[in-house]
Amino acid sequence: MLLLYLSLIDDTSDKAKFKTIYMEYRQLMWSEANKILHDPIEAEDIVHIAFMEILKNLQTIHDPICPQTRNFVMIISRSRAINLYKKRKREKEISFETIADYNLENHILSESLADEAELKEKVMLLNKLPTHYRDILYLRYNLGYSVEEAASLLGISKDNAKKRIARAKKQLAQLIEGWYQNE
Amino acid sequence: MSEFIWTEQEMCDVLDVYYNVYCKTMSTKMDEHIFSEKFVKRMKKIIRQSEYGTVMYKVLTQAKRVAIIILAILVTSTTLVMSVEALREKFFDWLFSVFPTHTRIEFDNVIQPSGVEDIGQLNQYAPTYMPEGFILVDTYESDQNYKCYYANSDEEYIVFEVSVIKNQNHINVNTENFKLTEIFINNCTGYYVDKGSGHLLLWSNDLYFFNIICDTTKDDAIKIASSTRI
Repeated sequence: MLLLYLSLIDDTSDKAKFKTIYMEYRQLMWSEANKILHDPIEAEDIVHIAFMEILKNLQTIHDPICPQTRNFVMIISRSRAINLYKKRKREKEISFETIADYNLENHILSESLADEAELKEKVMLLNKLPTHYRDILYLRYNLGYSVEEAASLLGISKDNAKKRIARAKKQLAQLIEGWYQNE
Repeated sequence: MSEFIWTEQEMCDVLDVYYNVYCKTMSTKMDEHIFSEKFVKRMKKIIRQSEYGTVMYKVLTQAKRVAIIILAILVTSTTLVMSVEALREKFFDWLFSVFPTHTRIEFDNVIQPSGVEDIGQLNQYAPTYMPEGFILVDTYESDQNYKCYYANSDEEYIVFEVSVIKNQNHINVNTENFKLTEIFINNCTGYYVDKGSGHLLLWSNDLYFFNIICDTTKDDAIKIASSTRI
C-alpha cells in the first residue's frame, strides 16, 4: 500500500529529473570546482556533495535543463569548493579575493554583448563584484530562495548569508553610483 | 533595495545575462573530465535514491540493514576454531563439516574449468524473477562475487549472491537445531535451511556457488533461484 502511495507521489518526470541534471551538468560542476581546488579528485568529492544538496532541493527545480538550473548547480558546486578551499587555507588567513579571480575578461563581455552597449556596461559592473556576492544575489533574487535556504545551499550560516547579501547590495550600489557619476 | 539605483528586476536581468555569458564561455573552455569509478558508484547510489524518493529510499535502506544483520546471523564466512570433533563427509563436490552449532561447507579439489567468466559478467546470473513489490536496493561487486539486495516497502528483504568456486572457499551456516535439506534447483544440487526468521538456499552449478537469503517464504526463495541462468 505504501509502495502504491509513494509511486503516486513520485511521478516519472520527477524520477528522471535528478538523473537529467547529473548527465547534463556534471562536467560544468566539476570544472568549476577544479578551477578552485586544482585537484581532480577533490573536485569530484565536491560535485558529489553538491549533488546531495541538489537532491535535497529537487522539488524547487522545475525544469532540469534551463539556464536557471545550470546556474544554480554551478553556484552550488563553486560555493562548496570555495568552502573547502577556505577550510584548507584557514591557518594562512587567505581571503576570497586571493583564491582567484573568476570574473569574466572584459574582451569576452565585449564580444558577447557587442550590439548592446548599455547592457554591456551593466554586466561589467556586476563583473566587478566578488563571485560569492554575485552568487548569493542570484540565489536570493533571481531564483527566489529565502536567506535561510540560500545559506544552506551555499554551506554557510544564516547570519553569514544575511551579512553577505547586505555587503553585496552595498558594494553593487557603490559601483552603480560610481558608474552614474562618471557618465 | 531602496539604496539601489537599479530596480530589483533590473539587477536580476543583468545577473541573468552575466551568468549566460559566463556559462557559454566556460563551456567552450571545458575539457571533458573522465570521472573516477568511485565517483560514478557514489553517484549511482544517489541517482537510485532520487528515483525511489527519499521516504521510500529510507524504507528500503532500513530493509537492507535488517537483511545484512540476518545474513550475519545466518551465514558467516569467518574461520572458526574447531573446538569439537567434526563429522566430515564428502557429498558430491561439497564438503560438509557438521558442528553442534553450525555447518561448514567447503569446496575441495576444485578444478577450475577454462572459460569461467570474469566478474564483469557475473551480474548476468542475477534472478529474473522477484516477488511483487521488491526493488533492487543495492549491488556489491568484488573480484570473486556479485551480490544484489532487494527490499519491499514492508521492509522484507531478499539477498542474492553468486561467487566463483575456488579451493579453500568455505561458508559457515548456522544450523543449530536445524538441518540442511537437499533440494534441486534447475537440476543442480542445492540445500535449504529454514531458520524461522529467514530462509537460506544454497546451490551450485560446478562453476559458481549461488545463495539466496530472504525473509518471505520458501516458495519465493525457490522461484527466485529457479529464475537464475545457470
